[in-house]
Amino acid sequence: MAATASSSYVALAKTLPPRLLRFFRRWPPGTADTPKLNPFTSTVNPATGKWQDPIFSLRRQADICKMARKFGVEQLLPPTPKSAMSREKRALEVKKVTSKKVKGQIWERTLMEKVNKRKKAMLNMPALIKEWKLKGHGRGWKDWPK
Amino acid sequence: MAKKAKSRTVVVRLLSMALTGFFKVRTRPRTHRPLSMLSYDPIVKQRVLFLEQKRKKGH
Repeated sequence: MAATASSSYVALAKTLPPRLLRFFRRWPPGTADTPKLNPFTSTVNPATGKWQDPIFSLRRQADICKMARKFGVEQLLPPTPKSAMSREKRALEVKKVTSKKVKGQIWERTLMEKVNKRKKAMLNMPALIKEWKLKGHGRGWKDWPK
Repeated sequence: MAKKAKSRTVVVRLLSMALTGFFKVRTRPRTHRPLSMLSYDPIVKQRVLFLEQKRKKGH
């Protein structure tokens, strides 16, 4: 079983670009199950107790992920927030929040009503102006606004 | 005490008939007929009719 897995890995490796090959040589698939060996996460040094930055920055993680996705080996990378799976998961969470009905501020709630009223008034404007001119520029006008 | 004499002129408000809430303030003699004019409304960006608003009683 192990032999077939490793031989399939060898076959796969022959199709990969050197950058991915170098990555997998240093961090073979499965090594990152131990969080300490994950190059994508910050780790604490047990001897000094100090935190160490991840070996790959988020930008480089995204680069590697993109390349791995292109060659269909993204599943073999250590877990990272830049992988397609975690991005989809995050998008779902965002959707959960944004799909909720938002009450909005009072001006947002009344805006459409106001705009429609204005539009209707503007459609009637030429007729109103004509009437105003016919009535002697306001001389005979009766209907003053309140 | 005698009531204060009314002034000869009044300050009036001319409302945009585009219903934007935009208005102009003008003064006119109290006995003059209500004001009305064609003028620019910056909210609809057009010249529209402005009519004088009815004044409240006691003013």
